[in-house]
Amino acid sequence: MQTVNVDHQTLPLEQPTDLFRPTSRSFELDDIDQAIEFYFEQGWTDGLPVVPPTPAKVSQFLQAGGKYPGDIVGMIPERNRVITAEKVAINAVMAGCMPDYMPVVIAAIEALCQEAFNYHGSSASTGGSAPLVIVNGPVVAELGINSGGNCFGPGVRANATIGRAVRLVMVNAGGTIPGIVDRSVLGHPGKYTFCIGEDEAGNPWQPLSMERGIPAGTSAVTVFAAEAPHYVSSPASGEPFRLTEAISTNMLGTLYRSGCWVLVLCPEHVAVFKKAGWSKDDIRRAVQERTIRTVAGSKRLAGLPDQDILPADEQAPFYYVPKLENLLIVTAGGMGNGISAVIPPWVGGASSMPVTRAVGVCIDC
Amino acid sequence: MAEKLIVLDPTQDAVATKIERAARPATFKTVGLLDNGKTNSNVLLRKVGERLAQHYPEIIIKSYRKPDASRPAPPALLDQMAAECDVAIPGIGD
Repeated sequence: MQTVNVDHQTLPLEQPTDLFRPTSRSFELDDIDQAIEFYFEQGWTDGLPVVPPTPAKVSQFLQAGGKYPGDIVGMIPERNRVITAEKVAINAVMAGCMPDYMPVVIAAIEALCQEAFNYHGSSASTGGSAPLVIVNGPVVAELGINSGGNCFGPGVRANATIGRAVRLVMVNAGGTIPGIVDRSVLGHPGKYTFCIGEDEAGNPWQPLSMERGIPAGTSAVTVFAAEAPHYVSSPASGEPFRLTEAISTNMLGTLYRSGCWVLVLCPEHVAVFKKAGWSKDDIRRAVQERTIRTVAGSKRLAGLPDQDILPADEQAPFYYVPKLENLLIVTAGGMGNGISAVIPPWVGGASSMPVTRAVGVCIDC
Repeated sequence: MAEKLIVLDPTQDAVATKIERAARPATFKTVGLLDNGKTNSNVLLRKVGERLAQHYPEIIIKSYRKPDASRPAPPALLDQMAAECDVAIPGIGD
């Protein structure tokens, strides 16, 4: 008899697909048009139509993700919530994913549910962040994840639907319902979808995932509770100090409290640093030196009524990059006009830290 | 008659747990004010404390602050408050 190993028990297996059969409540509808409207009526979409999740498709996604329906992908203790693989698969189908995207979506949800990320705080906050999903490794090319021109924009299925799947899981399984638990004052477009690949071929340095402890050749996702990207348009900055000045000026335009930043460097800006022989830490140090306010200046910018400005605050330095590792550097984007991006952290700052997770494998167990 | 389309529920409810409320004390001496760490929470709770002190001069008011507004209060802080206070008022700013 054919067998399969489930939770260290060997079970008889008549039909392999039985193990991947979804158990969620189901609905019988007339056709696709009715299904699309039904999901809108239930409040189960992001405001765009969804692909109706049929049991066969969900089962296929679970198999592609290597997960059984009841497997726990993550938990949100503050909300008493458990997110199972079946719900991830259903929402990934709805988002328009291909089955092969499942391991990436699963890794992203696992990362969001790590304590350091603070899923509950960052997703409920008035600060209105969205998890930026940065993908590294072979899976970027395998799935066709865009790391080039218009990487934050539309047009590529993998980016659009992986990011969207993350949001739909957050809303439907994580209870991050806009206006109820998600109290964003503004929100931002990245809350629909926010996923890029790193352009490792165009990266003269170590990829982001390796800097964060993932072995070479292993695919990984990094999630970061992010505000919207700010462009750093600096077409003529042919030398690194001028470029770091442009990056730093941009960063100083935000209310930074603590936490990390993501700096997305476009190929032309990468070339400027590469030509000058700069390491990532050289960039970080130059930015760190150029992004210092006084504590008093920071308090005035925040305008907080409960923070008195003390005389010593006028001299005390306030670092926008307190430690070099707070600046995550990613290479992505297309050729054109020298446009990089600074992505500020959620206003909660260090209350949410970026989390990196290997895709499809466990590297520490 | 065309075949029906079967589709699945994408939502997952919170796991229901029952939490018993503490019995209301008939009398109390010490009131703990827990600032949740958000902007203005301390301003609001300071006023609450002043009003309480005005109306009930015999009570003792103690102030506490969560170290991180967007995370639950650490168990050690809650234990400390439970040991030091008879009742508590949490406050949120914004």
